[in-house]
Amino acid sequence: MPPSPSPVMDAERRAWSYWFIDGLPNLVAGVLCLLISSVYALASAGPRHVRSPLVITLVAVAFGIYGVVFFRLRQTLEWLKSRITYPRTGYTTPPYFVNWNAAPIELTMLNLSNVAEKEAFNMRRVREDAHRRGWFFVAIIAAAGMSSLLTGNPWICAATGIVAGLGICFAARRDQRISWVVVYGLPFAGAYMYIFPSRHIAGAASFLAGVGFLLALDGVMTLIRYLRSNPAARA
Amino acid sequence: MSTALQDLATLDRVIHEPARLAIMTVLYAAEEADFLYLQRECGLTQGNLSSHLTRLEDTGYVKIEKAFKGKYPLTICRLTRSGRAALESYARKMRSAAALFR
Repeated sequence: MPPSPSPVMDAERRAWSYWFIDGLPNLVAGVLCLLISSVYALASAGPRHVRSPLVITLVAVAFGIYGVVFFRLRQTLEWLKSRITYPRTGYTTPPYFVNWNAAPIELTMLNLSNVAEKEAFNMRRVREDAHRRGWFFVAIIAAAGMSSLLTGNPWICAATGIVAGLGICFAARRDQRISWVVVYGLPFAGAYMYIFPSRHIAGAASFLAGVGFLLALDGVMTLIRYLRSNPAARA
Repeated sequence: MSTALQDLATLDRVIHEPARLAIMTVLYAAEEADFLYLQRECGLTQGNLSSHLTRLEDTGYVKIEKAFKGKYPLTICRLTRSGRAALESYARKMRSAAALFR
């Protein structure tokens, strides 16, 4: 990421990227995807198995954990960060709490050149783009799942994986929160649907499992890197 | 004396000190941050940061609170309304002062 000409913009950018410094958001998102795919996978075991109490219990437990993590995502992340990140490198406001629409207008007052003013507006546009791209990514994953459920064609997931990979690749040009693991792994997550053909719910589940695995892998790699460069302070 | 020069002469000395300006800039951008984060971002020693924060708190520009995130105790610092206004006023004055060198 190139350094900003304005110290304020630089501080803002660093505060924003600090939330992702430890890889925990990607790790939790990956675990969420794996949980929901396990629910799909268990549900697709067949009507005979679905009726078994053990499978029903497993589905309920997986769905329960998924629900807790999904609806308490910020709290889950803050809980993890309070044990891993804050004692090592400190705390700053998570992006959820900051009014990003208002900040750049105020920030232009602190800049001493027109270049920095332009950058303030560019950053605002980048944030809006990132938001749109996030929804685009969610829509693609949902479309892949639904297409797989309805048509049972593994090629759709393969194509969706390639499109999602290209989309993320485009997004990662400006925003480096997603590593090459996800960018290059998504087309493979789609392609293995063709190598190991699975249809309907199982197809959607395996695609989601691939996406979840990639996100979790990215999160774990970032977390290991972070823990190595920031060892716990000795008392 | 021109207005820009008068502005220069009336610059807020509390903010004008480089370490305090760095602290206020980080807090302006990040809304709130704890002691450890500020120390890393500003590259200050513990004692240095502590004394500058005390000065800023005494002036009423920064509010310091003790809080807990889980079991981890945090010293959270944030700019007060007057601190934000003072920094914006300082930036305006510096902006007009910069025009002197164009």
